[in-house]
Amino acid sequence: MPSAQLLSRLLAGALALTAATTLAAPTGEEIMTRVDQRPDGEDRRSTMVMELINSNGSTRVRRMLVLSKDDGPDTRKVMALQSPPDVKGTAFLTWEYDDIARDDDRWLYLPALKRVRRIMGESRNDAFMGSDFTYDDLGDRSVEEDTHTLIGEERLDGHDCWVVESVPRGDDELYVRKQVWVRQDADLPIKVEFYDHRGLLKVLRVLEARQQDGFWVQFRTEMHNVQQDHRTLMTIEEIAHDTGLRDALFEVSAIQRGHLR
Amino acid sequence: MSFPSISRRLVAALLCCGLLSPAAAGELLDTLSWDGFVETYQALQLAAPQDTQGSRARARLRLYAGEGDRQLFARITAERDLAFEGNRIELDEGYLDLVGRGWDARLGRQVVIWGRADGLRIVDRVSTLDSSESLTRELDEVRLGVDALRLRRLDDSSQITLIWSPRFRPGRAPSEVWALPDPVPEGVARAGVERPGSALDAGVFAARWSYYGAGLDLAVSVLHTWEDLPSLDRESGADGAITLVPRHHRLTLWGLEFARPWQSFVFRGEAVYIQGQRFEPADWRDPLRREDLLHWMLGLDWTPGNNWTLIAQVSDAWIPGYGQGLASEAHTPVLTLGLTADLLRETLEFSNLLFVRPNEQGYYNRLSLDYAVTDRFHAGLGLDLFGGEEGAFAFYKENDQLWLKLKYSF
Repeated sequence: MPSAQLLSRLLAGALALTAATTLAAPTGEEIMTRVDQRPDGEDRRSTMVMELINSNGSTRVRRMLVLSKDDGPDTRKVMALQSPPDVKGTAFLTWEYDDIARDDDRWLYLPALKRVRRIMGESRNDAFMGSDFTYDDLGDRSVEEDTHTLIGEERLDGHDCWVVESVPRGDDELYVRKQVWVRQDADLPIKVEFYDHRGLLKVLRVLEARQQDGFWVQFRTEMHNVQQDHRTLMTIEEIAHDTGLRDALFEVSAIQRGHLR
Repeated sequence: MSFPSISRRLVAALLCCGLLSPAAAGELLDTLSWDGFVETYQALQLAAPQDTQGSRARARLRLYAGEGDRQLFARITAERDLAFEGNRIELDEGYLDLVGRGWDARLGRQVVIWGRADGLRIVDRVSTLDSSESLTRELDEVRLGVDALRLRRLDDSSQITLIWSPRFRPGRAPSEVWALPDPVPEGVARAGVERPGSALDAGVFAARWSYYGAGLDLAVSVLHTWEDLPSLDRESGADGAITLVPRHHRLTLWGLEFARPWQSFVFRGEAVYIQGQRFEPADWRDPLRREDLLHWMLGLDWTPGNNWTLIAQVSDAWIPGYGQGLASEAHTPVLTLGLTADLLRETLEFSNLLFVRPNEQGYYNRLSLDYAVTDRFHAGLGLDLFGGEEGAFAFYKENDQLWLKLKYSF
């Protein structure tokens, strides 16, 4: 074979290989869609503890029972506070809709008032119960609300990760961009950096993640607000998937009883 | 009486009623848990003579027993009133909940709260009120439990509720500091209070259909009850002298409620039509007048973000058949404006609630701060200010007060 022909074939092979590699690498949007759609069962029951730690090391603890169930593309969720004692028994019922144009339905049960109150969806940029997490950070944000770009691959905590940059499509957002490290073997984010107009605002680290009932779960997560030097440690003490939670648990009548403590 | 002892008595009472088997009763006691708080409250009059208007120590205990479809709850309050030297220990609530597929039942002393209004009582008339400190206590602290059976039929997002209380529990009148002037001159003979009897048909009956669904809450209700506080019936003797007879009269209330969210707003409202309410006459010697009353409220909640909430309400009590000779006016509007904010990572709650009665150019403003020193220990500071030309708020002008509350939860 003439050397020119051999070179041509090698070049063609190299080009084909490059093209195949490029095709194999998912886009940022595909990665974040896979993260969003990572299987987590039809229903979930968990006990969660949130520790709010200020720069002096002073800690406040919130403990809650969380039930959730898929309803097609939508999710129904009940969250009942177990501590601190003065808010024990307070329960939130949320019907979250996948359609971003549709407002979620939310009700609040206050045991002292013995009454269920229709409430508006919190501003998604508001802190969740005084913690360093916003409602958006806890998963209320849809994939299509950001532009996602794959900016590289890194090895982090012993795992191969995609590194994706997410920039909000709309105005009036708390973060100007996020950088997300996603484990390639589990479609699981294990680190997120949040930037605002002043620079790095918060860093989320997943301290413990493992499979439970066949699903990946982030058991311990820390959110560090570097601008205020305040941390929130979120721990899932126990979780069970697909236990057959009844639909009736996700109706107002269930939280009205005040039994969720 | 110790906590477990109270719980054992409740369980024993339910055993006697045949509502629990001995095995189920034992199971309930095995799951017994409790929480509660101790609290001290001091209120000082701002104007001379700067009397103590409130001074009390209070302990509340909540007991829980049972799991799943059979649960027992009791709420007991012990209070020592240092200003008026009164003590009480009371079972505020004590009930058994039974839950089945598509239904549930609650039996025992229970607080029932209906309606969508904040700080206004319109449809919410099943539980009577302890008005001993007038408006200055939180509404959730002053509702009295009713001894009742509540049955609910649950169907997806709608409910049908039936309530029967065999014994009416009257409200409590304002204490000496908060008592309003009597519409009748001093010296007029007054008989003892006539309370509703104990006959089966003297109870309280209520029915309500409610719906909590996507984008809309609705409820309609009917309540057959008694006046919270007795009206002063005039009875003439053979010599023509008038005797006042404080007597509770029957009332039937037809209620309607709604709430609808839209973006960061919730629109809500409620109305009640009361048949045959008694009204004081302009001339105290005349008999009480019976008139129907339409009482309604429209409210708007706005949550702009950062844990701020603004609440505005407008309400009116309208007497459609109004005529001359009534002490009250045809319309009695009340406006409220509330502002709350959770600050410092939800450790400091700021709240201000303003009531305005335009007819009397009267207002009541309650400003309060609550700081969570720790997760268990809260300190509260507040200011109650009254003003106006006439009516209750003007009458309370001298009762402006500063208060302090310390609370430890366990």
